[in-house]
This record gives sequence, structure tokens and C-alpha cells, in this order.
Amino acid sequence: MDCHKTCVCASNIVSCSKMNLTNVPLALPKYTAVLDLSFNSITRLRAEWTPDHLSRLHSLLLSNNGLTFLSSEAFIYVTKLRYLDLSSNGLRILDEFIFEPLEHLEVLLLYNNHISQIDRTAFSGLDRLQRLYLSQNSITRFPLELVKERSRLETLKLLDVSSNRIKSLPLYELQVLPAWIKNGLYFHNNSLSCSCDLYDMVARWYLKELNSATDFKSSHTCVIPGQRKEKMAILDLDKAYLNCSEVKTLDEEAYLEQFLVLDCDTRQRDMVKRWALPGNIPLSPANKTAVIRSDGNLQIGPLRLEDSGVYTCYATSDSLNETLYVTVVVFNATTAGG
Amino acid sequence: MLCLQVDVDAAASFHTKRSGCLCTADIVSCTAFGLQRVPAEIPVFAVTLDLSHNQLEQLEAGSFTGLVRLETLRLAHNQLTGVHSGAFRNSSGTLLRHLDLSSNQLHVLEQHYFQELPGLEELLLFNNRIVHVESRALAGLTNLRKAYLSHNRLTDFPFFSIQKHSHPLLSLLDLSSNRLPKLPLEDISNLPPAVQAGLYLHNNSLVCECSTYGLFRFWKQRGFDSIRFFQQEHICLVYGRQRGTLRVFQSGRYFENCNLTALKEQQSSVSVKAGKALLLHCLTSLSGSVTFLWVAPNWEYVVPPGNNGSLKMFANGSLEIMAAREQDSGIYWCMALDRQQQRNETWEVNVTVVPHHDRDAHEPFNTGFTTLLGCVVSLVLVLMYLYLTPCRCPPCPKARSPATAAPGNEAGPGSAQSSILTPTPPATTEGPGRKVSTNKHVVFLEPIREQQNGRLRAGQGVGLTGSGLLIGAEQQPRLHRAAETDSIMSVFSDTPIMLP
Repeated sequence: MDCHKTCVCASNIVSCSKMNLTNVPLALPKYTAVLDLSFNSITRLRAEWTPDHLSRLHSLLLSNNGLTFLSSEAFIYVTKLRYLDLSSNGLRILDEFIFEPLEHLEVLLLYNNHISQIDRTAFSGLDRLQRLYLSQNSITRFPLELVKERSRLETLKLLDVSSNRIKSLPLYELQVLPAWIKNGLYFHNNSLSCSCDLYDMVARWYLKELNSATDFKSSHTCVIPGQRKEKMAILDLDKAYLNCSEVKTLDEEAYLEQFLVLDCDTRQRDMVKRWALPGNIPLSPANKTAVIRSDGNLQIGPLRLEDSGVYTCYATSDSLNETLYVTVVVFNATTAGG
Repeated sequence: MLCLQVDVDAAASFHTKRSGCLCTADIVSCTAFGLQRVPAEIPVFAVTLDLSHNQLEQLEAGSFTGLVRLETLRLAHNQLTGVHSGAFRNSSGTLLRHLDLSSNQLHVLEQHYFQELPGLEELLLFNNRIVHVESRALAGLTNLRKAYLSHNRLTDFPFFSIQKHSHPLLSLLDLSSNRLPKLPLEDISNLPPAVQAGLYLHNNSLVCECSTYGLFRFWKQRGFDSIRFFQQEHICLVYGRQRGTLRVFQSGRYFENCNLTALKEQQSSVSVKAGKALLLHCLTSLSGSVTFLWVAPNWEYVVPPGNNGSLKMFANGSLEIMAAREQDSGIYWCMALDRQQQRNETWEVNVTVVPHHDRDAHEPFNTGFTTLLGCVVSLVLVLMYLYLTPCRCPPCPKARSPATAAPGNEAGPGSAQSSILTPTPPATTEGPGRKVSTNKHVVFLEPIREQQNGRLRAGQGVGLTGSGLLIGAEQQPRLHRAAETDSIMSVFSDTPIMLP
């Protein structure tokens, strides 16, 4: 490829955006780190779109091309890719192992396509994937394999399946996920059936101020079963239609002599956590009734009435600080009664 | 409402013009939306904001107010001619890492442009119309890693504003495809090594000059990517009888008369006082998981943590000579190996250990003084021979070979002694009847010290072999030594020279 005729070559950035291309330019430079092919008419990404290994390529931008076909061997020569933008195209199906060679991929943008079918192994091999955007497609099945405890991708912190046609969510599996995954799990604007379980989950996420709930509050809608397929706001389900029991606070309730584990379930991973007892009293090693665990959670017990109150968890990391409050209510009775 | 309201039940309309921006999770994408100014109601959840391919002309003050999570801002392919003061006020501050202003119409990089973005890591400014970068335009960008300024109209660049303390992480500075006529070589050689390794200057308007040629040759020898991948595009312009463009690396003949010795890289030569510690760095552009290896002048291989004696080596490739001795002088060679990418780079440092005058009690005189003394003694002896010897003949027109005064010089060990090179044998053999051997070459040697255990100090220019030939510098694995082969250093030996 003659760098100065076809595209704009700025050392290792090759910028071919909006250049009326119908195919990927031949003989791309081996040193290319960023390849911008957005806003062209490349409708097919064939196996040999680059016959040579582009071992320095870490960003490939292919949005807005009317792309409808991805060869199963499209990515074998760009295995160092970290960022892949296939958004705003015409993709319909994600085939088995389609992204398997991309073991370094961190961000995958597939929003605004026509995807209705995703093979269960489509995301296989993406061992470093952090952010996956699948919104504005025609997906009907929630990709549970991505978040299910045993099989889930270790590094995935953002999964966006909003604005699709998903009818049901695996509510139980989602509820047991840590906050740092829930924070980035976007499922609003789908075709979910209204239920009190759904209300419960969304209400709790909203109370924990998770981004996926608070940033798109008005888009969290569910479908009332029936002919007209009316939609209503999930968070209104305690006031109308189903009259679900309100989720007001996230109090921990317990009885005397019991043990409780208070979690400091932060929106970010791997934060350094420090607890304070009610009245902002710091923890002391001598105190055997309040012990911080290795996972950052606080174990209190055996409980006495005086242990009621607001426990504070101070969590810090390089970029964020978070403070979580847990209200503990100890009932003046033991579980056995009396 | 800026964001497109997606109706999941409506038929997928691919070809109809979008009536809003695509907002999803943490991305707000308003590409090709016909925008003439930055929209006011951008959602706060935006971590990535894409406004490329619009018709923005100015970035007004407060354009991104309230976007406290912004990390990536794409403004490429607009018609921006300027950035107003305060454009980035009250936005995400240090969170903004990636700013793409490529393919616009910026004219001058004014110093206030990036003032409110101290966290910037990648700055894309290629394909604009920039003619000038103000000297403080990049000031304060201490996290800057990559700056792309190619395809502009720059005729100069404030290299002096890039220092190790101001831009410690900068590893790529792309100034290719501009109009630089001349390079400020001193400022460039003062750039941090990591910047030099990632400095792209190809396809400019450089005048064909020895200094420019020398710089590019040096970079090629270092294996820098800038030369490796763009060798053909290193061009220069010739003025004079032949107007035209030369490819620097295909025009060896044009530059063959260049004296490249003056271009010795300052950092590749270091001196240290005897007894002091010296830290050598393996200057390389490789990063990531890199292993290092040093080879000392005595051919000792050194890896971390060191050789358990005089040399300590760190995992980052630095080598410490704990207390420099004279035998530590010489060429230190290091190799940096990136196994993952299968790349290696080598680097050499010439270390000179300067002996401490106070410590060496055996040294009778310093070099200058002994030279002067030798000259005076020789002169006195010559005059004695001429005027105090029995022969009354008028002095011969041809000067006597001063080498015949040799007997007077053998004053014993520990004193200065001189020997002088005679290119041709003397015409007469009058006098004490000593015949001058045609094979006698006089050489100038560095004083040989007792402490060296009889070993000649390595790395010096000349020495004496049995056959009396000068050992040239060709045998030394150094760059740019060819010109020094014939240079003669004037020093004295304090031991008698045995001539064949």
C-alpha cells in the first residue's frame, strides 16, 4: 500500500476513514498499531484481508461499513488486538469461535448491528476481555455463559445487552454476582416480563447506586403480559400493577447471639477496605466480636443489642474512593425465641 | 434529548438517517450527525465521547462541562480551527487520557490548549494545518506517552521543552511529514533517550547536511523503529548545482566526505573519578518484560544481581560500578532482549576512569610537566653535542637525528622518557656511529601503571607490537574510530621501550 496516496499514515497510525473503500487496502504496513477503516463500504472481512501478521496492531476500527460477513479466519493474523470496533454494521450472526484468536482483546464493540444469533462459543478465547458492548441488536437470549460463576470471563467488568429483545433474565445468577460486575451489567430497554423478582433486583441495584441502574433509570422497563404489550417502569412495580413489596433499605436484620457477615460490595474490584463500627469507632485487633475477613467483609457476633447501628466501610483504590453504609438491626430476642 | 430512543419492537431501519446519538452503557457516539457545535445535553455517564465526522469549527469554553467521567474524546474529521481557553474546564480533568483532534484545521498549538488536561496520555494532532507549536503548548502534560503531529506544516518544534522531568513517559513523538528544514541537533541529543528512540522525522524538508546524515545513521545503528520502518522516507533536499530530493540511506556517496567523529553521542562516553561509583543505563526503546545482559571490558558477562564483587546489576538493566578502578575503564556493552516480541537492542558505553592525582604517590610528574622537561633536556643535550664535542666542523645542514641522543634518556625506571618517530632514516650516520634501524618506529604510549599488573590498558588508540607496527583503532569494536587511526597522542612511557 502506498501510504501517502491511499490513507493518512502518521507513523504507526494508518487512518483510512471515509475514503470510499470497498475493500481493505492491500499490503498494510507491518508496523501499523492503529488501523482506522471506519465509514467506508467494506461489507466483507475475508480471511486474507491481511496476509501478513500485523503483530503491532492493537486497535482495529471498522464501524459504519455495512459489514455483513466476518470470515471465521478473519482475525488469525491480528492476535495482538486489544480494541475492536465493529459497531454500526450489518452483522447478523456471531459464529462459533469467531473471536478465538483474539486472546489479548480488551474491548469489543458490537452495538448497533442486526445480531440475532450468538453461538455459545462465539466469545470463547477472549481471555482478557474487559468490556463487551452488544446493545441495539436483536438478541433474544441473555448470554449467561459470560457471567455464570464457573465459566465467566475473569476480567469482564462491562457487559451491555441493553436495547435488545431479551425476554427473561437469569435473576438468581445475576443477584449473586459481586457489585463490580453488576455495576457494568446493562440490560435496560429489553422485552423483560414484569415480575416482583425483577423489581426486587432492580430496586436493590438502584439503592446500591450501581451505574447500570442509576444511569438508565428511565429505560428500565418491563412488558405487561397481554395483547397490547404495554411497557412500564420496573421501579414503579411497587406502586402499581403488581404492587410488589417495597425495597426501602438494605438493612441487615438479625437476632441476639447470631453472627452476621457484612459485605463491602464495592463497585470497583480489588479495593482496600477499612471498617468502622457504629459511631465511627475504628476497629481494634483486641475486639473479638468484630473481625475483618480476608475478602474485606466484616464478621460481627455473637450479636448484642448494642451492636445495632450503621457500620461504615471505607474503600480506596488508585482511581476511586467508595464509602458504603450497612445498617444492622439486632432484635431483642434470640432465634430460639424468648 | 440527545440520545436516540431505541424502540426494540420497531423494524430494524438501517438506512434511514439517525435522529439521535447512540448512547449505550458508557459510550456516547454522535458521529456523522451534522453537528456544528458541541451539543449541550451530553449524558454524564459518557466515558467515551465520539464527535468525529461532524462540522465543528470551534471548541468553545465549557464545551464539556459536567462530563466528569470522560476518558476518551474523539473530535477527528471536523473543521476545528481553534480551541478556546477553558474548553475543557469542569470536565473530567486528569481522567481524560486520549484526545483525538486529527484531520481538522488547527493552525497554531497555543499554550492554553491542553492546560486543563494534565492526565493526557495520547494526543493525536496529525493531518491539521499546524505551522507553529508554542513552547509551552505541551507543558504540564506529565503523563504524555504518545504525541502525533505528522502531516502538518511545522517548520520548527520546541524540542527543548521535552525533558526527562517534564515528560518522563513520552515514548513516541511523530513529526514526520512536516516542513522542518533543519534540526537543532543539540536539543535533539538532549532529549530523553526514550523520546529519541521514538522520534519520527521522515518526510520533512531537511537540507542535506552531514549532521543530519550522522544523526540518522546513528539512529539506524541503534535499531530505532523510526529508521527501521521508514528508511526510504528519510529524505533531504539538495541545494546548489543539483536541486532535488535525496533518499538519505541511498545516498552514501553524497555524504562520503562527512566527518562523523564529531557526532559521537554524548551519552555513550562517560568518565568517572577513581573510587567513585558509576551507574550505567542500558539505553533502549524496548519496554515491557525485557531482560538485560552486560559485558564488561574484561569480557565478563553480568546479569542481575551482579558479579558479587565490583559490579552490581539491577533488573531494569542498570549496571553499577561500585568503586571505579582504572581497570574498569573500557567499553561496556549491553543487550536488551524482549523475548515476547523477539526483539533485541544493543548499547555501548565507553567508560574512562580518571585516576585521582592525590592517591597515586608514585606518579612523579603530570603529563604536561614531563613533556616540557623532556623537551628542555633534549634541547640541552643537543646543544651540548653541537658545541661541546671535539669536532669543530661546521654544523651539517641536515639536522642530526634526535634519536641518537637516546643514551642520555635512559635515566632508569621511574623517570620520563621520550621517543620520537622518524619517518625516514637520517642521511648521515655521523656522531657516535649509531645506525638508526629503518624498522625503528617510535610510538607514543599512555603511561603504563604498576597497578595494572603489567596489563596494558585496553581501549586506547595505539600500541606497540613486536614488529613495530602501530596498532590501529580498527581492532577496537567502536563506532566512528576510523578517523582516529592516524591520530597520535603525545604521552610518555616511563619504562624503556625495547626496540627490535
